[in-house]
Amino acid sequence: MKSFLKISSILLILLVLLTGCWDMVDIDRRIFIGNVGVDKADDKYLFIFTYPIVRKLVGGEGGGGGGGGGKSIYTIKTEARSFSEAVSLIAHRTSRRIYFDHSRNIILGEDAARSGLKELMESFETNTQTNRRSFFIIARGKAEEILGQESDQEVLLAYYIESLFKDSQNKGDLIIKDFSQVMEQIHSLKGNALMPAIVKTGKELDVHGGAVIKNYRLAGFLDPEEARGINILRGEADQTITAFDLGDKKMVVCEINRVDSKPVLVKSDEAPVLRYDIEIAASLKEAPIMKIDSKVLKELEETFASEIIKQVEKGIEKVQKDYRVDVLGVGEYLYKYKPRVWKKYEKDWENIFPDAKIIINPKVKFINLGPVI
Amino acid sequence: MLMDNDKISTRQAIVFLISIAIGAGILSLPRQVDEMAGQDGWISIILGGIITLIGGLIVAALVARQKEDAVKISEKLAGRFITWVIGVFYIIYFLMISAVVNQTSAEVINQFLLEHTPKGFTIFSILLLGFYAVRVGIEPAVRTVMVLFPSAMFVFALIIFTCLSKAKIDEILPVMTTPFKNIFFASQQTLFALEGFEVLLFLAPYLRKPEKAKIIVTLYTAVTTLFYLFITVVTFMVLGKNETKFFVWPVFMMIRGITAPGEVFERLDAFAITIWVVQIFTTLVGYYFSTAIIVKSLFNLKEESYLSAVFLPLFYFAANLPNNFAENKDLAGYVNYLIYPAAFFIPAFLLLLSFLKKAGGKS
Amino acid sequence: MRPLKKLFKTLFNTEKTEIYHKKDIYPDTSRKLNKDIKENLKILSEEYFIDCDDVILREFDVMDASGKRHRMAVVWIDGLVDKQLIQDHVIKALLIFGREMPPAAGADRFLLLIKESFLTAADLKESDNFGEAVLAVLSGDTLLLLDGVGKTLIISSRGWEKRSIQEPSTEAVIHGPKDGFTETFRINVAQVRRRIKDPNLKIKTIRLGRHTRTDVAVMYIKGIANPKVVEEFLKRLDKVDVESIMDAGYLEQYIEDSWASPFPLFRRTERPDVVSAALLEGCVALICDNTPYALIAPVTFWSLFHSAEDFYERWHIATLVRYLRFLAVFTATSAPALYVAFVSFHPGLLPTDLALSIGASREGVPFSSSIEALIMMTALELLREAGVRLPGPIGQTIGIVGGLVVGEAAVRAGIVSPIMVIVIAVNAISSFAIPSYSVAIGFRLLTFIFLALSSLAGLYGIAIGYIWFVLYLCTLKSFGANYLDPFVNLDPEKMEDLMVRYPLRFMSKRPDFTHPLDETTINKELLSKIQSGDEDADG
Repeated sequence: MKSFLKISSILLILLVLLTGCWDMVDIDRRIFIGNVGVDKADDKYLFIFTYPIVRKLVGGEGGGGGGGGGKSIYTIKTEARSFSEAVSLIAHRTSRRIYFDHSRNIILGEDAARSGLKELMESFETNTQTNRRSFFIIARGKAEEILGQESDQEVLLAYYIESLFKDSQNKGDLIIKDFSQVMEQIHSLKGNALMPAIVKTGKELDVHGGAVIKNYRLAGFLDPEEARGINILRGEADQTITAFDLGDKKMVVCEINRVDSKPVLVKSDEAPVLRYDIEIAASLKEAPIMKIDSKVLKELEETFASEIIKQVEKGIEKVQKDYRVDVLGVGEYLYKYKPRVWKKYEKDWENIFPDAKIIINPKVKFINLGPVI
Repeated sequence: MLMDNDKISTRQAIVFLISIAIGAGILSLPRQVDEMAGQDGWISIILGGIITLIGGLIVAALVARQKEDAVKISEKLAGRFITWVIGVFYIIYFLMISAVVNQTSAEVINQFLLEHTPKGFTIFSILLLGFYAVRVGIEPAVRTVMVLFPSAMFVFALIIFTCLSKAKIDEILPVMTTPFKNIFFASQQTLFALEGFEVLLFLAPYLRKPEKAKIIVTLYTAVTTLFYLFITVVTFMVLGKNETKFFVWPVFMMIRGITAPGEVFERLDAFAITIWVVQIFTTLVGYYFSTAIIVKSLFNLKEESYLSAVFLPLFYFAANLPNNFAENKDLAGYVNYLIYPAAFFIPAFLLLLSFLKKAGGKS
Repeated sequence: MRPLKKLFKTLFNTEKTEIYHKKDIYPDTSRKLNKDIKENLKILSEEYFIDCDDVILREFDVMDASGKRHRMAVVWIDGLVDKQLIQDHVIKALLIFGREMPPAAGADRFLLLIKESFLTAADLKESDNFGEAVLAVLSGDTLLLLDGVGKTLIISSRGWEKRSIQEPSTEAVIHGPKDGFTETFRINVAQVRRRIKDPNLKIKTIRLGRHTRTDVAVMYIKGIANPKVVEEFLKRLDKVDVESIMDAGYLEQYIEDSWASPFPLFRRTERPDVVSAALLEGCVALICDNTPYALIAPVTFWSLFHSAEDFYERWHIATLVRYLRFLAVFTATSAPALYVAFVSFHPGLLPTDLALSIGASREGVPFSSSIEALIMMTALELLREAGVRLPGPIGQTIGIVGGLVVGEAAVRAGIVSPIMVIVIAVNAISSFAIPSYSVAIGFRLLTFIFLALSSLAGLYGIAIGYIWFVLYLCTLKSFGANYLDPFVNLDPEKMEDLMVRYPLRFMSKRPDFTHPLDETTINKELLSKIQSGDEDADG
């Protein structure tokens, strides 16, 4: 009797447990959304989702071949007030389950960005499905345009956009931040952030410069030089290719290999005065053929250094004077390293920051000189 | 047969206790300390570790002197009535703690791994495993923990390590700007994560060398505190103090933000959670055992393994009491209060009694 | 109601049938031989050996020096004895040299004379009862009967056709001894003896099986093996009272610690060097007659992953190969389960390219991934069994052909997706990489269980499965050794041989799981010299 009870109870338990595999959704019954785009549409948003039709991409073998022809990236749009609502609406029109784990980019249209991003960002952040490693980009223009792009360079639009950032050879001119990094800025800077920007030029998409968010709204864009300046200031300008003039219509192109930027608080009166000691290691990429010895090199370095000052100041000016947002990390630095000083400025930082004086003190060293001496 | 197999060696006891402590606490600890103490929360953890050490040493002293489980000790020292009160209290305590842990794990699994699987299933399957563990006896269960836990902890630590690539060291700064009061209160929150040593009270009769209890407790506190410290510091460094208090489970959100080197895995958090399930299991095993031993001692039964069949429905019922995470959080709050008597006051009380009895009473 | 009850009873009756009762394998010594040789022969041929046409009884007369004739007979079984020995050393010796035998005072004296002075056979015993005599004949010895004496001489004359010593078929090594066990008991034991020329190598022979009366040898090294382990062995063997021991496999199932375990609790090996190494670790070995492999216990899970070659080659490769085997075990058990988990539950874990291409390749496949996996795994098992049954080259061809063609065809027909075929192939290859066949069987079972769990709850199901698996393994013991030793008690000294195949120079202690009496294997002084890098250490 005891063993009968034992065995039958085990069987019963097994029966109960085996009633269903609730989460089993085969991979071919899913859609892998590649990009999410958001544009403004009256008082709601227009959400745009793109995903690949796998059959047309790869040409499935098992189970009868796929055909060629037809677009391989499918776009679906809907109007909704938030991200999750959009997903629920497009679920009516998609034959497969929507899955975001492989989404690469989230692109916000300029108009949506200018009108206020707080709700949008919250809706992305509170949804578990959002891929926190996707790039969070502001488009110059409409996101719809960007996502309508059929690219010949890559098979998947999502890859194309993502690789524009990730595999770029000239990273210093861009702001590269993914969703988690942007949100981290938003939270620590209370609604301010630097975000990547993208624009459509002809048949391609162009990423250069960046966007400045102030108080959850798009304040404006940065062009490549300004972005470069800011990156150098923040010490995030590895692998940047810049050119500078040598006078005499001569031009030198060099690549910045490494940037170490250390802020130092010099004075703290009404507004703080900081000096940034920036150490740059660079290599020569292209230079007019001249005899390069250490004296010439030193001159080059100094010329480059003053060029750096110009570029950085350009970036600072844009951010400080035009947009009046501290995305440079000045406040951060003060808060972390000089908390007592920070107490003075904390309350009114928005207004004090534009008056802050930033002195750039670059030191350039060329480490690779190229094949020709 | 050959060896005295029902005994647990010192090393096994240390690992077992650590495995009990490290479990559900990982997830919410960074958030909890951040909420109260900001970026200085890591100091709270160290403080919490010291408090744990004190409590642990009390328990260790008690165990080393009496070499019995708490129920038998209190029977000897305090009489049947108080023993029953203590016993029932501990049973309720363990029921509630395991309910919190179960609910947390079910919630996390639902959120990240399996969206539509009913929570009852996840809770039930882990309970089944615990049931089986109690059934086979303490020795095999401890052996299992010895085999599973170190590797699980190691892999988990490795995953956290890879998060360092996105860490910004200066997120911890400025140091010590939060008022000490906050840091102290935050350290009270850490107790839920760090505790586990009260199980030693019920493990006592199975220890091979109960006099080494002090070493067990010290090593256990050191490792657990360090581990939690490591995780919290990394979480702060990656997410920043503002985001950490924002997420319910900051650790997993942090893991979501990284890729494995070589881009082998995309969503490392699903993988991390799978490892974490092992840690939940080892945590729960300790609680189930303690309950079984309490009942066994209260009723003077010979074997505790068959009691597991009784507990299964009881634990399942308890685990399903909180309906969602908010209720779970409230329950966890109550449990936090219960930790004081369970881990500090009652052992101290018993220890005091044992000193008195020894000093005043018969030989 | 009654028949229903009976049905339940038969279905769910898990009463263990005790196989242990009074034993009856030793010969019945009560029936004594007659003095009259004719009577003896009659009893032998008409009672014991009636209808046994291979028993030969040859009578002859031996004349001693005084001319007195003694009637003698030899009894032996054709096919079991070395006829040359009987002819030369028994019959010839008696017939020719018998003439030189001095007259004896009686048959008794005569027998004594023969036994001690005239027979040139090497191994000689005396017996006075039918039980021993009959057993001796059946074992391949020869009986020498003498008229007038109620005793018989048992001459050892075993010599049957046996398989020559060959390379063991299941445990081939590249460098290393290639002599394997055969079916002959004595030779197997001798092979081990040759390797351990120590009188402390004890070999106790017992006989088991009421009808088969199989010889079983228990081997251990006194001074290393823990006497309690040996005692436990002998105790368990003593309790075995069964009809037959066809093979050591039977024996294993009667004396192992846990009959329900899918994993072996003994190690099987066809190699005498493996047995010798095990004995030196403190294990006890069993050699069974008619079985070309030996059983070794205690055993831990990890020792099932060792192959003999590990210790003959350099330790770097041996260590890496060991990890490869762990990987093989992991893939062999979890590959289909992981496939189902990744494809159907968590595609986010796959790299995007892979996810898309798998998605494309699975379009049009009618079954869900877990059914697909189940179909392919069943097919694999069928192929495996078929490959074993078919002789030699055909078997191998079927394996390859089966794999390639059937897989391809299935993909073309749209039954499975190509990635499934790869997963199954990886699964199959990994399971072949596991050195111990008996362990591999357990793992095959596990694969199905993990697949089921994975279909239920994806990665969480697999995690639960693994926890349960480890929990189960931890309950297993093999003669006092924890199955998962040395993880069970993380003692770094004892873990030398587990993670890395430690260079032999530094292996100073025996593994602990056998609880050996003598722990150190190297002279301690020498060891410390080696470890401190002393140049003269080799002295």
